[in-house]
Parts: sequence; C-alpha cells; structure tokens
Amino acid sequence: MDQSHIRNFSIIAHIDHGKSTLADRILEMTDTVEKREMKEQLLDSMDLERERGITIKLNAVQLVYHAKNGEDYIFHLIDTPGHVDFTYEVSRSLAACDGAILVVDAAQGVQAQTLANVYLALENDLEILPVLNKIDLPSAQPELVKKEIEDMIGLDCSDAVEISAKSGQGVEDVLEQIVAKLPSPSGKPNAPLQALVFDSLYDPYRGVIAFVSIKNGTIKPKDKIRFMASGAEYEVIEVGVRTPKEVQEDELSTGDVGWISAAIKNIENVRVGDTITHVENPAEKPLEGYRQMQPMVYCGLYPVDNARYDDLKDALAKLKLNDASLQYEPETSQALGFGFRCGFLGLLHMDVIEERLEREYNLNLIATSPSVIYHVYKTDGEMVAIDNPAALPPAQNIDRIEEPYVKAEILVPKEYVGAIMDLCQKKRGEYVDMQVIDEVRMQIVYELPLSEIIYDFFDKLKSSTKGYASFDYAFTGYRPSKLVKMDILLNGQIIDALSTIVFKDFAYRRGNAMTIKLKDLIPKQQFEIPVQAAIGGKIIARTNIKALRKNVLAKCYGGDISRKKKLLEKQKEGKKRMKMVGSVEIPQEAFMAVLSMDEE
Amino acid sequence: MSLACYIHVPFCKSICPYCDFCRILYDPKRVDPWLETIQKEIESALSWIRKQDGLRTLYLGGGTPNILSEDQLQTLVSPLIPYLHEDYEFTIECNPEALNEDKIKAMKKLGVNRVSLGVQSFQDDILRKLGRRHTKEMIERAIESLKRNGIENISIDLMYALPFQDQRDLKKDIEEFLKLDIMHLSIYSLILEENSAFGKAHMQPLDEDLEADEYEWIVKTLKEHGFDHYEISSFAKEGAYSKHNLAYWMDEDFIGIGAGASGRFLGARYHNTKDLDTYIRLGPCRTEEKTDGPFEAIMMGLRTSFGVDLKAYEEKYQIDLEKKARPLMKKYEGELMIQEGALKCDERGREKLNSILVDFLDLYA
Repeated sequence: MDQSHIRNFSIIAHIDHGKSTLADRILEMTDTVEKREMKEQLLDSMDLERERGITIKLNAVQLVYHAKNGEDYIFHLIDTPGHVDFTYEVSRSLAACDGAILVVDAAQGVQAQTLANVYLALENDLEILPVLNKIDLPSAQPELVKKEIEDMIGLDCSDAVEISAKSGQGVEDVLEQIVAKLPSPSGKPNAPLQALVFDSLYDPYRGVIAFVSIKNGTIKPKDKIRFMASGAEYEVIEVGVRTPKEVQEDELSTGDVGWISAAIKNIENVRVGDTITHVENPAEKPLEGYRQMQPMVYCGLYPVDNARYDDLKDALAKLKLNDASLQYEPETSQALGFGFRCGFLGLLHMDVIEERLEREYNLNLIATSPSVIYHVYKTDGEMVAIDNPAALPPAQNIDRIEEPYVKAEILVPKEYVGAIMDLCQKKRGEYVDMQVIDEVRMQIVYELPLSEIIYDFFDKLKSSTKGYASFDYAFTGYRPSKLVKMDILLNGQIIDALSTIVFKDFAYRRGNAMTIKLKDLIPKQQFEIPVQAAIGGKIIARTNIKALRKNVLAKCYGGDISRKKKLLEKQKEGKKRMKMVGSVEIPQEAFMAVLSMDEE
Repeated sequence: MSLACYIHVPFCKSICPYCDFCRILYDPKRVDPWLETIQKEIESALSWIRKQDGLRTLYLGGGTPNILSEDQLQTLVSPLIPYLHEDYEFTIECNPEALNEDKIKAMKKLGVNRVSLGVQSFQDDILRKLGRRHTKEMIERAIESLKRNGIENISIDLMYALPFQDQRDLKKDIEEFLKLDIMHLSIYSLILEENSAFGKAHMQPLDEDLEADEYEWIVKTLKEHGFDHYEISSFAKEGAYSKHNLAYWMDEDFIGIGAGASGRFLGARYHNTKDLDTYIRLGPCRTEEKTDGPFEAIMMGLRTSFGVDLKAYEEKYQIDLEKKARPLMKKYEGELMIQEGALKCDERGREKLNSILVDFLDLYA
C-alpha cells in the first residue's frame, strides 16, 4: 500500500483510563478480530497482564480501516503500558510511531502519567490526538477536563472526540481523526534500510524475533542485514506483521511495523533501540537511540533450589531480551547461595519480573528486600557504589554515606493535603512546592530519599487518600545521610540476605517492626528461635519464635481422609518454598518482610 | 477378614454454622427417592460383604441419621443385619432433640448397640451459638432413655476451642460429661471451614497457645479419670474403643454407602457423589481417589496410641519403617519413637502430628 495510507500510532494514557479497552474496540470495529475470538484486553497477551489488568509489554498490530472517504488505510497500533515503572517501554513504542492518541478519563481528568506520557510523545515529535473516555459515567465532566488538558498540556481540545471505549460510542470518530489528523510515515522506500528495533522476544524454534518499525528502505527474506550497534550480521528468513496473529509477508517497506526472524540464537546481539540496515548499501548512520532508563531499585534473586542457578541465569537472559530495562549480575549470599543482584525501574517492575520468572520459567525464587544504590565514601577517599546492604564496608572505614533523592510530584484532592504532608515528613521528605491545579486538586512537591519511597510509600499514599492520590518521581541527585546497616540474627546467626541500610533515627523502630514481622512470617519449629536486630554488634530489638506445640488437628470424618491429605500436601508445597538457613526454615516472604511490616 | 461398613445419611433439620460436611436440609419428599437408591447400592455391596466374611461393624453417620422414621431405618439397614457378626458393633449417630423413647426402642429392636450423641456442649447459650436445636435437658433425657432401653455403649461428641467459650465453660462441659458415667468421648476443636457459615463470617480462631492449653488440660483431666487417650480426639474407658473408627485408623478396608460417603476397597479409596440429586438420579457415581497406602497407614496409625505395627507394615508394603522413619525420629526425638514393635507418637508428638506427617510426605515423595 502507498505510504500516504499508512498511520503508525500509539495510545497513551494514565493507568485505568481505558487505553486497552479502546484498543480492543478498534480491533473489533476494523474487523481485525472477529467477535467470537475477542477476549477482553486482547493485546495484553501475557497471562500476568490480563490477570492484573495492566499492560506490561507493548504489542504492535496491523489493521485495515475502510475510511468514510472510501479509501483503505493501514493502521499500525502499538499498545503501551501506563504505570510509572514502564516509562521505558512507552518511550520505545513511541519512537516507532508518528502519532499518538491521548486517552483521558473524563471523570478523573489529567493524572501524573497522562503528563509523563505526553512529554515522552512530544520528545518524539508525535502528533497528539486528545480523546475523552468514559463519557457515559455519571461523574464525567468532559468540558472541565478539556479545559484542564488545554491549560496543563497546551493541546487544542476543540475537536477532541468524546467516547465510551466500553460501549464503542464515538470510537468511529477516533478512527476518522486518525486518518485526517495523524501524519503518514515520512521515510523514503528507495533510501538505504533503517529499521528501528523497538521490541524483541525469544521463540524456541525460530530464535530471536525482532519487532521493527521501518523508517527508510525495505526489507525482505534472504536480505543480508546488520545490527548497527552490535555489528552482528544475519540473513533474513521471514518477515511479517501481526494482525494480531503472526502473518508472513513478502517484504516490509517504509512505514511498515512488523517482525523479522533471522535464526538469531545469540540474544545479546539484538538490542532494543538498535538500527537494522543492509550489509550491502548500508545506511550512513543509525537512527537516534532511545532514552536509556536507569534502574532505581535493586534486589537479590536466588533460586530456592541452588541446583537451578543456571536455569535462573538463562531465564534472566531471555527476559532481558524482552525487557531492556532489566539489569542483573551474579552475586552470592551466605544464607541463600548463588544468585543475581537485579536492577529494576521500580517496585512494580520488580514484582512483575519476579512473577514472570516464576511463571514462565517455572522457577521457585527468593527475592531479598529491595535496595537503592548508596554511594559510600571510605576514609581512604575511595567511593564505592553499594546496591547490596550486606556488602557495606565496616563502619570504621566509612567516612560518609550518600543516598539517592527524588523529586516526587503528588496530585491529590485538597482534603488529603494534610495527610500527604504528614506522610512525606515521616518519610524524611523536604517540602519544595505546592500548587493549586483546579477547584479540587493540589499538586504537592517534595524531595524524598528514594529508599523511603521503595518501601511502602505508594501503599501508604493510596491508603491515606482513599486511592485518590497519584504520584510520579524523578531522580535529583545524591545527598549525605545518617545511615547504618541493620543486621538480622536468627537463632544467633546473622542472615546476610536480611540486612538492610536504614536511617539511623529510624533504626530502633524499624528493628522492632522487622523482628515482629519475622516472628509472624516464620512458622514455629521444633525449637525456640530468637529473632534479633543489631547494629554493629549491638542488639537493638529482640523477640522469640516459640517452639511448635500443637497443630490444628482435623478429624477424618466417616473415613474420608481426602481433605486431610490435601491439607498436608498443601503444607508440603509450602515447605518447598522455604529455605533452610543453618537449622532454621525460612519462608520466601520473610526475605521481603521489610516491605510489609507495620511501623506504626 | 470381615468388614466395617459406613452409611451416610445426609439429612439435617437445620444446618450447623461450623459444618461443611455433606449435609442437606431435611425434605420428606427427597427421603424416599434417596432410600430407593441407597437400597440398590446396599444390594450391590452384598456380594463384597459375603466374600469378606460379613460385617464386624455398621455405622450410620450423618447428617442426622435419627431424623429417619422407624420404618425408614428398618428399610435402610435390614438387608445388612443378617451379615453382622456375633460380636458386632452397630452405631448410630444421633442428635439429642430427635431421640424419643419410641425411636430408641425401634433402634434397639433393629440391633443398634452403640449411640454416638452429638452433644457439642452442655451449656444452652453455647449450644445456641453453635446453632444446635437441643438443650442440656434434652441431652440428659436422651442419655437416660438410652440407658433405660439397654443401649449402654454411648459416646459423646464435644467441641472446644470455640471463640465464644472460655476455659471455665470448657471445664464445666468436661465436669458435666464426667458426671454422666459415659464410656467414650470424642472431642474436637472448632475448625473454621471456609464453606461453613462461621468460615464465611470470617470468625477468628482461638489463639494457638490457648488452644494447646485447652487440649492439654482435657487430656490430663480425662486421663486422671481413668480414660484411655487412644486416639487424638478420642477417649475411652475400659476398652470401650470405637471398633468402627479403629478400622479407619488401622489401615483396613471399609465400605462406604450413600451420597457423600467414602470407602476403601482392596486398598483403593473411593468416594460417592456428594450431590443428592445426582445420587438419586444416577446412583453412587463412585470416583476412585488417588491412594497412597504406605503414607496413609502412617497418617492414620499415628493418630492412635497403638501406632503403626512394624511387622504388619513390612508385610503389607515391603518397607522397613524403622529404617525409613529414623531421620524423623531424630528430628522429633522423644515425640516419635519405636515402642513395642510399633512406630508411635507420644502425647506431644500427636499434638504436632501434622508437622510430622508433612515430613513423612517428603520422605515418601
């Protein structure tokens, strides 16, 4: 098809504003997917995505739209995640597009991620089409929200379509606007090939599949190609598009968004953000790279069964291929054996990666409590970056420790301002600014240590505002803090995987909360187990896990033992998820205890 | 070897809030079709019973078996009566409120020689909270009447670890029990089953330590009064053990009849459909269960004070249990041991039997 009839676009939105539902409707209304094949949130193909109702991996789909002007258009729709942790994925999908549909909930209005995504879209020079969703909600205030978009973002909303993605109302107008208002791809089919790799996945039969947006030139099977950054060369085997089923094509030309397979076994060679060109008649230079995201949160991941270290290594390599923001390197723990220190964009990202490793690679994992990177200045003048509390040098060799701070922007209804300021103060926050957004909402800006945010800040934020607050944060720099390492001893033995770095003034409170939480999480065993928190050899908190005395002993009624047996089987499965450290059996959750303890 | 036979009568006048067993509100219209089906099931079980040299025990459980009329009871069990051994045990579970003189006389005539009475508590306010329909007075009347009619072998069910019962209440219940001069007691802690009304109301269980205190106090008190703590939840005087339940605990086959019943045939466990309508329409719909004899023998045997006989176990399963259990006897030293040729738990071991069994499961994996 002629290039002027192609539209490449993403849908961007704050979480829950209806982006995936709109994508579903578009697929339906363009007959891309037949009704009977329609599952809710079709683009969310990972089980995890559908269960949680969030989009994690982007997905690109080709569809054909018969416009009202009588002509057919090819749309490439690239779905994007909405959560703050997945900004990297969003920036990758946006680089593959020429335009974006901005979905805003007509009841909730502009939220933190609405803004963040719009800025990413603007950075990528995309044309933006504002759309107001959930117009059928009784609480919808489309005129107010349009004004908000115009005031806060500066987008003209006079033509903004009002829709209900759920019922389909107004969606056709969105399709017409895509044709009328979004630009077609601008590249040249005769120029040397430049194909942007924006995603990839590993297929056990075909090797690495690269998802590409063809910016210039064409690509077809048997072409000799080169990845410009890694320098790796391959011969193309198949090319195609997703509709959303995989469909083979004879070639992909400028403006197309599709996939390439080339029997690529070495996953390291396919880097997201790289440019593919031809070996003969190559492009002069690669396309502009992506915004590289730096991990903010680190934790250790260990297989419960040490024999599965290699499987974990393999699984991480494959996930990294699919998720360029994941970082990892080997580490060892006295308590847990061999594992990896992994870096994530945020807590949800960490959670998702851990769950994908367990589900998709059938691994049984222990995750240690998350940590940020501390800059430790030693007395000899050297600076070491520490992402694992157990690796902190001895106190006498430390001159000072600096920790990362972030600027947090919190949007909150007026009545909760007090609660939020209170929370930020408790988390060592420093007040920066406060602004009135509209009649009901305020924006509060605080500088906060990142380490306080990665614990339970988000949960606390939500619970103290009935879920109304939203926030986004950006790294601002390192600052010195009074920090100490807190060790946890079980049965008198330091468990290195449970060590944390804490603010000195919080140490007693946190030590107490931690020991109590561990007492709850670790099941009673044959002997009494002292649980202690210590700073530099000094015990600051202590409790005991009493020896096991009595189980709940069910009767086997009428000779029916099946229920009893099921219970025992379940407990046995639970035991599989425990790690024997010395003589103590520790359940996986205990290593993350710090995330769920209550310090109040 | 003769058999133990269990018949499940699923009907109840009301549903107790702690129960999630196979039970159905009594509906006179459904009893007759049920009776027809169960008669057919009994008929087909007779050939097995004949081959196995008759019945040693017959047990009517529920539900509330004494909800059936005298005629219905007669119709239900009469085909089995000729196969009862001379020293048979024929138990009916009864709720005190539905136990009048006439019914007792009819039961006696049928050959019933043991009654398991669903007492649960002797205190009216607690009985009300448990959703029971009887009172202390009804219990006492029922027991008197049973004894008067020559049914002396009585067992009582009690409950403890109830959130609305304190230790004084428990003490009172045990004292009342001891006053009655009854040979057998089964005492169960409240288990908050997900599908029971209590479970759905998210009732909170008693503190673990308190429950252990109560259990240990019960064991101590009953032993002081001459009761043999012969199974985790069962106490008996002068060898008045439940012969029927011993078949379950001692790893023997047994017949299970009726909707919701389980059985074991040639070492393989099965259960019948729990759905009454399915049962009436299609019969028992027997499903075989995954059976793991060597483990189940331990799981059931360790509940008793007799334990698992090493020689019998080796003959049956070709496993040297003494050797197999050695690492666990070390872990649970003094709580799990070999005594008089059997693997046994002492009182403390039986209290944490689940933990021990989970370790055995690992051993047999």
